[in-house]
Amino acid sequence: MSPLTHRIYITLFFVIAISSFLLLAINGFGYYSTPLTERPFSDLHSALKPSGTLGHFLGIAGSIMMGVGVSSYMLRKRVRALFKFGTLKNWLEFHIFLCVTGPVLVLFHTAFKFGGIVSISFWSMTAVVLSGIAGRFIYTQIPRSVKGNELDITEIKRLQNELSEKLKEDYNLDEKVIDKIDSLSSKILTQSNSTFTDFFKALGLKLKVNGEINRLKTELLQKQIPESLAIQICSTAKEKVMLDGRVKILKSMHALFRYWHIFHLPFAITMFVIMIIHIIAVLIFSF
Amino acid sequence: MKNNLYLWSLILSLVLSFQTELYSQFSPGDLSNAHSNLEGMSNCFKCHTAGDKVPNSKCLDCHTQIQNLQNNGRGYHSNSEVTSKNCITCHSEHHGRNFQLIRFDSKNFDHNKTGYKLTGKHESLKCESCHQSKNIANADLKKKGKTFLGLEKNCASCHSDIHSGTLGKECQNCHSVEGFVPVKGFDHNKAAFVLTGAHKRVDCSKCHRTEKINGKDVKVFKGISFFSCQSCHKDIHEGKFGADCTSCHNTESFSQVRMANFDHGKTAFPLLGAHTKVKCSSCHGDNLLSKPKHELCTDCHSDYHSGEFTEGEIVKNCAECHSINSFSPSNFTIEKHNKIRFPLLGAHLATPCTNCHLQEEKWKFKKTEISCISCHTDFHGEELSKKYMPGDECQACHNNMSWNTVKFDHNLTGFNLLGVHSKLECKSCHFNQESNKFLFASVSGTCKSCHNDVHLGQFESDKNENVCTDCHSFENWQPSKFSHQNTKFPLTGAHSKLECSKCHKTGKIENKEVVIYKIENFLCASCHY
Repeated sequence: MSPLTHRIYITLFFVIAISSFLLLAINGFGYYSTPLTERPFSDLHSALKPSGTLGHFLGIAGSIMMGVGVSSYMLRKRVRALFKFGTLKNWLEFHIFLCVTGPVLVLFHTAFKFGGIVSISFWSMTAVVLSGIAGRFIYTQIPRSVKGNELDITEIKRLQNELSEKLKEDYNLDEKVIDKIDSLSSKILTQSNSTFTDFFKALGLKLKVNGEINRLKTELLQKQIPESLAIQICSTAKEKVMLDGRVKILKSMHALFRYWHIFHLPFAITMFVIMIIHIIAVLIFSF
Repeated sequence: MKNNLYLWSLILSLVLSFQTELYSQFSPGDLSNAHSNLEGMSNCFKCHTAGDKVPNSKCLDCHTQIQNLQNNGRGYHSNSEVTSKNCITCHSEHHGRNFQLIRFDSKNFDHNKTGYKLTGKHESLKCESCHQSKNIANADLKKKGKTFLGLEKNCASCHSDIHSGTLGKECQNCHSVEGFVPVKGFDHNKAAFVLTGAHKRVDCSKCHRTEKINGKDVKVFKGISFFSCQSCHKDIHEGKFGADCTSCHNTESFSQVRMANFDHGKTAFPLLGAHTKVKCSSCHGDNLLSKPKHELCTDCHSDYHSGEFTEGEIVKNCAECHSINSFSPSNFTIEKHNKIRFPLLGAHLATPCTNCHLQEEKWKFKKTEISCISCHTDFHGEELSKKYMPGDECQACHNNMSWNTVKFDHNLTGFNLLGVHSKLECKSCHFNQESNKFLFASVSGTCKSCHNDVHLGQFESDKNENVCTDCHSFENWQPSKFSHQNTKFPLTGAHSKLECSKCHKTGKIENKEVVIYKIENFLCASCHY
């Protein structure tokens, strides 16, 4: 997938998810903001109630999207025969799209009425989504290849060297600047023994890096370096500092990612189990 | 992976352990208060049927009142539009305890669908005006308090029967939904008592009185006795004219009396005599119902006598003098007259009343004076001394029998009637032909005042006016008292044998021949020549 195609691919997901949310929210705001005891008397009730024409559709569609999103990603990730179908990164993005948009639809399917056993499914879904966002963050904190494969330490070192060489040779920066860029990661992020402390450090890493890189850019411009060149230098420097920083918390991120897995998946399973019970109950009682 | 399963199991157990009842895991929400007794896992299928949502039959198993209404084709739930729906279409559940299972839009509710169309006054009523427990007969529904069920179509379902059942249950036969009054549906002409005349204008309550029935004040419309007028009207005649008021009165007006059938004799004032010929209006004016006073004649009649017979302010009984047949003649008889202070005696008995009582064309009876001259003219005037009319009464001479029969003691006058005088009629001396008057004062009592002096004054004397009596007596004109011996020429001898005329020759005095008795010359030659 070319970068452009990937960009369109991601943008499309983003647009669909956001527009779905906005359209459903705007369309049903009057209904959803009505107290539960008043909703049955709303004109929209027959459509937007969980068993309504649209509400029921949203429940089914959202469930399917989550089911497909989870199962497809899991299969692609775990079934060797499917390894050849696309990059794992793209499947993850598809998984994220379906498992964000699907819950949005399910959210509106619930009509913001959370109760009974199915609420366990809903809140599990919520936990899965939120943990997914957290997992995605942790995921991004671990250096990866273009295809999304995790880099081992050797590959990371080589990448760090490549970036240092690029700064030296391509931009012909003097040693002082090179040293300063190398020291930025240490300035920004100090090693800690706490996994969770490192998680929060990771949350602020990008901001801090951006601040330092901006200052670097100012210094470069003061040295009469052309702005376009300064931007290229800063871009490479940012990549280098980020990588240096992530290397420092890599161990913690690996640990967190393990924890995340044992958190994310059970909630997903819980969600699906309860959802199935909910579907069975609906079929039996035909609410 | 093994750790994952542990964690998943832990989470699931924790989540489930927060649920106090397994039921609540499946219930999409609390049931409304009305159905709260059905909460619980074991109750699900009391309403739900697997794969068949909530069938109406489940609802109607409990809601038997609705089932009964549908069975009987009554009420809103029997409307085809409603029966075509599932119960839960309108009465959905699991929306919380406070959910209004019945959200009633009173403004837009089509009451026609209940089978009872709201018309007239019913259209503007609030639902609660009718749909309240006190109007519900069914005990079970009554307990519910707020329900729209249980009302019957009949009026008594909501309206209290102010007639207390006396007029049956078909209120609409008389009343309309436009208003309890006026009672448009009621036509009194179809009632047993048809309203005519003034009855049409009488307020209902005048005849239809309020009575206590079962402790309630009830205006009675049925069973009212109307076969006689007295059922409603008070018989002001107190039964004197019988029970059939219509023989005289009609329904237009009490005062429009049918006179042909009216018997005044039954009133307190029976018409008798001349009253039978008097027009009603003469006494009653324009209003025959007026009750003129009739205790006294003067209540109707003016007092002709202008109070002559009034004692105090009360006129004495006119009937003492007048009869009811006519004002005149009076029935004041002589006998009655004789009982008053002036009894009619003698000629007064034959005297017409008018002679005494009609004065200046006006009858006058009450006289303060009853003396003779109060009626009679004193004919004698100055000729009769008052000493002979003590108290202006004439009885000293006259009596009631006749004016001409005079009884008078002439001796009282000092002129005793002697001799022929006692045999004469009064008028012989006292009536003057020329003046056609009796003269009394003018009669001096001298001989000359009545008698002519045939001697032409030969014996007049200043000393004695009645010198006649020297010769004449009252027995006759013979000079029985004359003696020639007492004269200046006593008769002696032959003279005593001679006729008077031998000596007393006829002569003339004042050219009138007269026997000359007074001879002054007694010489013999005066006779003997």
